[in-house]
Amino acid sequence: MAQYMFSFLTTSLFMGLIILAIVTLSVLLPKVFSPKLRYAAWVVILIGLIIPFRPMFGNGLITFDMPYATTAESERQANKVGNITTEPPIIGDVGQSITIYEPAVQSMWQTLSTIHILVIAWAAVALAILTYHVWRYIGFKKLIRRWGVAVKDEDTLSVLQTIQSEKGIANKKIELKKCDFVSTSMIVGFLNPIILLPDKMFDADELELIFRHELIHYKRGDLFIKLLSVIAVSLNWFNPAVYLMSAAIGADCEASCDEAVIADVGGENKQFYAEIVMDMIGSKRAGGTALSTCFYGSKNGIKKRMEAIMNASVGVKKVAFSALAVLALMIIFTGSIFAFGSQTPSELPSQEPQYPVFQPPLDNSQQQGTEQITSQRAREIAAQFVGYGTVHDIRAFTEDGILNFEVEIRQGAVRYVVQINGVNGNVINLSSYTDDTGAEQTISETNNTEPTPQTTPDPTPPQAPVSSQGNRPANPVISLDRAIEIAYADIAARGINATFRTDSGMSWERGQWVWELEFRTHGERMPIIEFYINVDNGNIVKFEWDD
Amino acid sequence: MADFKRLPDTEFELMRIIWQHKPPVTTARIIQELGDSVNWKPQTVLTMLVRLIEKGFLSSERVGKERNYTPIISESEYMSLETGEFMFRYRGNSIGSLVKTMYDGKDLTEEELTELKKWLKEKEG
Repeated sequence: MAQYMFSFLTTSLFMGLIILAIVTLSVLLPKVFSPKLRYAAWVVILIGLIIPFRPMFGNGLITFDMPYATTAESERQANKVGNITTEPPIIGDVGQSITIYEPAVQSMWQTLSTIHILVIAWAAVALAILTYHVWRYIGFKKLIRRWGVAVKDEDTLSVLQTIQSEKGIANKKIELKKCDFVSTSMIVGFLNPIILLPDKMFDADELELIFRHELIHYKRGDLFIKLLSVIAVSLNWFNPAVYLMSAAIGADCEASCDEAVIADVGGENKQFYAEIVMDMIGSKRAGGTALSTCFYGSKNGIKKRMEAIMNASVGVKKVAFSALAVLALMIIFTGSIFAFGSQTPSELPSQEPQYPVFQPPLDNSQQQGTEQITSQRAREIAAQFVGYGTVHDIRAFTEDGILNFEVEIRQGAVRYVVQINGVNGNVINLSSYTDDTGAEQTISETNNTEPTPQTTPDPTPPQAPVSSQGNRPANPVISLDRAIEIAYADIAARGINATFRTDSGMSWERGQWVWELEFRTHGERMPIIEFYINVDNGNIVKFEWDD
Repeated sequence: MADFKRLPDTEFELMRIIWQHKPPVTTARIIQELGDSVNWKPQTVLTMLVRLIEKGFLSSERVGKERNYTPIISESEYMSLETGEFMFRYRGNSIGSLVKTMYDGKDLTEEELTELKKWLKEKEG
């Protein structure tokens, strides 16, 4: 989730910069960037804003380590203070009898609730904005249905029909209505377009230009582009640049439409057309709202539009498709320019810990540098190593910040426990047990050596344990209290905050007498850590997450 | 009418009939005008007319067996109320983002318009 959010934010930021660049360029070099070119550019940008996810090519030119750098950093800070809340491994059932323990992404767990709140807040505002626009649109449509008067005048309708034929949409049903309450002509309706005329008298020449203007909007699908613009603003409401874009799209849409009308009717009609547009400006009483100084859509804006109409060249400039292609490519490759967050903690720049810090490995999919093997791969390695048998259990455990796997394989009464290094896939340790005795034998200990697969099952019960069990030591070298101290020290060194819960006394495990201790962590799901501590030398025989 | 409430479509339909005829209009006439377009019982129509009286849209008086209705608010008055309310609710004259208007800027004052027209004439030379 954090990744998606971050990706969305970087895209929005990048698009914001492009928007500012285009607005700046069109102000500085109005001749180079014609309204038509700008309008086409806005369409590309709108698509880029609405589809925020980009393919990733390579590793990115600029690398942000934000998601982990910040969270992992704060985590380390928290470790120092010693009040970290450690989250448990995710436990999921795979298959029937196999439980796979996958490690959680700790930094994500920790920040999850904050991210959730942010995402919900973002979605709520986006939905509210979208609803507002749709609500308003429905309200306006209702007004038209109630108060719009269908135009029945044959002359007017024949002008519309003529222009429709000229535009190749002769058979499209386009309603024409007169509305007292609008001051400008307009086109409404996505599927069944309605042209609205204000309650003014227009002669046939004026009507022709008005219909041309509105039908060009219809043919270009400008209403749909406006819809895209509303969606883009709703989704990126936190980005100030989109509001500028929205205003610019409106202005450039009209300007390019004006341009197309002039191209249709010839330059000698510019003045006439400009006057018609001016007739559409509503009049208000003096001293109204003082909001008429914005860049677009004010007196300043209409002057600019008039000037553009008067300066329109009859031969429409060829749209610079190459410029648009460059823009589209730029947007598509945003994902590659801003790569982020895919490093593993070991790749993080800050290497300050003097003591081993417990770092739950990241989710497999996010491991790129150290190529964490999957639990599936661990099963395969274990099965291959042992030869044959049924995989009964697989669990993940961490050692020195590396995720390792322990795979339990049964061959009849014999149980093999294979420990596999989670990074290089080497078999660290292989133990075998028989169910009736509980005796254990370490068969081999390998590291970077070719495993010697046992292709045939041992028909006889395993040999006697290497070290004899003997009697429970009455006065162990390491007392229970001392064992708890050792465990606490280990927990602290790993940066975990956990409390001693219970001990199961002394037991014979892995060929030695150990203290069996349980610690409860204070994470959300409160997993338990199990310790085996050798009663003779105080070595930690086992450190394991359990739920 | 500070607390303007948009008329629901049913009541608006009745008002439209009354507006279209020379007042006063009788109940019989209204029901006749409604014809088969709607499937309302006379009782329903009467209830709606009473509601319109309560809302201050109509006045009525009994003449013989018939009841006559006279509009208090004219059609154009109501229209400017309803449309004005819509425009006011959404501020400015911007009609909405999902509509393509030929001019989508703010309204200008008469002086500003005159000035603009003069400026345009000068441009033409």
